[in-house]
Amino acid sequence: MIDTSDETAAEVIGRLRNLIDPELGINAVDLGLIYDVQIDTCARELRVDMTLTTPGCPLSDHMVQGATNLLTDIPGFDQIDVRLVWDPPWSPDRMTEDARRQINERPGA
Amino acid sequence: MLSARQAPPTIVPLRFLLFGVACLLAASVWLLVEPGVLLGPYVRPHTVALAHLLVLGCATSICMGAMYPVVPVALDSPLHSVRLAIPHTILHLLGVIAVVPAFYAWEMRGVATGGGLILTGAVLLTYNLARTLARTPRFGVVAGSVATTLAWMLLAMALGIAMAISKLHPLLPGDPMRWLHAHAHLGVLGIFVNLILGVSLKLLPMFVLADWRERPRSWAMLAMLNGGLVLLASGIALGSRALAIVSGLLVAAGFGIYAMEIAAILRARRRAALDPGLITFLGALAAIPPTCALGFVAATIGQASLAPALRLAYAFAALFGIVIPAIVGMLYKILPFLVWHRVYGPRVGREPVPTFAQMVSPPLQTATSTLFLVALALLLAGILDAQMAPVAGGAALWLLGLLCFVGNVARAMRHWWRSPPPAARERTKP
Repeated sequence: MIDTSDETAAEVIGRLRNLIDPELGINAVDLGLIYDVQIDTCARELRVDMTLTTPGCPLSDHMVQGATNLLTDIPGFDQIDVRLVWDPPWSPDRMTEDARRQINERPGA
Repeated sequence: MLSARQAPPTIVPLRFLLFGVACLLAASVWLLVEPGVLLGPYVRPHTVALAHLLVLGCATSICMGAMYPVVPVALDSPLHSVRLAIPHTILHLLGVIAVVPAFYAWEMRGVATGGGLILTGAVLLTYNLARTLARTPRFGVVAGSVATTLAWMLLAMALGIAMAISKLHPLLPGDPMRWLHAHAHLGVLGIFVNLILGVSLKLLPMFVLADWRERPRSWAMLAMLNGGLVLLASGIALGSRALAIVSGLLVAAGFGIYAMEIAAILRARRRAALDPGLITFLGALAAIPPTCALGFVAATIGQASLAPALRLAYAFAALFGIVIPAIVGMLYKILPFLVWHRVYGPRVGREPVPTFAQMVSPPLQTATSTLFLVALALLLAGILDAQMAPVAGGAALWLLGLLCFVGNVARAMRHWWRSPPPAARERTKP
């Protein structure tokens, strides 16, 4: 779970809720695709580590660029660095309750 | 890691997919206009031409097209060459356009020439995907399925050309009907069923959010299916009914293991609801056991008067019950993905973009599956009973179901034409 007590981190997470997985129709935050948000106010650098539901997903460039687009006009940063990471691999256990409701998760699965 | 830059441009698979859909539509109209092609002896010019319009024009084109974007995803390995796809596309399309009329006119020189064009294209595809396979980080059961599919594809096509040449000059020894049956099994089982089964083990868990891991039994499935097919094709070609039946049982056992894998994936899935495209695909898989049973009956009945109708029904069930519905079900996933990738991918984070599901109509999907199912039952009843009325009625319902599918294809493609992206935005390898 990402600490959103920081105002900027909360802003980042809020914006990334607009990044929707086109197959599932669920946003990246509720899917548990966002692994880390690092804010370096001195270096004016914002770094986001994110993953995708499947390694080798051909949408990776679009999703990374989409996240960058969503974050690009947050004031106070000169550099937005969205990185794709595969370790640890994503699993459905990372989804929030909200996402589970949206996919109508099977009980006991 | 694979990225959009390493995937082929969307137009590469799209040409194959749209050509395949056009051939399916043409074949369905043909079936309605001339339902008699499904009655009586099946080695007749119009029946064979229609079969090749479906198998080469529709099923092979769509499988080849789908391999370009799907294989890199399934194998986590970038496509070796996008450029090679261009001559492959040209050779394949020209070959199909030559082969079908040549069969219609029973002009074997045209068949061999058109078949040669298709085979040359298939060699280019095989080289391209073999180089792609060589770079896969792990050679798993999906990679094994793709590799064996390519091998069967070349063999089935080469045998088909040899059969055409044999009509002109003695080449293949023995009964031509045996070679025909071996050719049909190599094509349907070796190419389509083999590919559908292997790739679905990668794609289905993705779509239903299930955690599936390859096990030794996954390899056993692949070995039984392919080993069984080697023996089955040999048994048929040699005229050994016992070998054909025993090896058929081996293939059926491979299907049994596959069914266990699919059941495990569905039990482990997180998504409760299955979308209509997946239901169509799973319905096609459910048609495998009755089709196998029909095949066994056709093999054991020998030369009884019902045998030709049973064999035709078996071939028809394999194509219209398994291969085409499985392809239609997967196209509901692949086509919106391709269009979205090109049109909306560059717009993510800049403006609201639709999901894949929003690009097609679920009621039209349901209508397609329902009409296909009723049409299949009617057509099979008509073929087995040698009655024109159910065949004609089934052909009309099949065409209606297909028009619903074409309506959905048009809905997805409307996004492509309505919203062309700026040329510089498509992130593809030159």
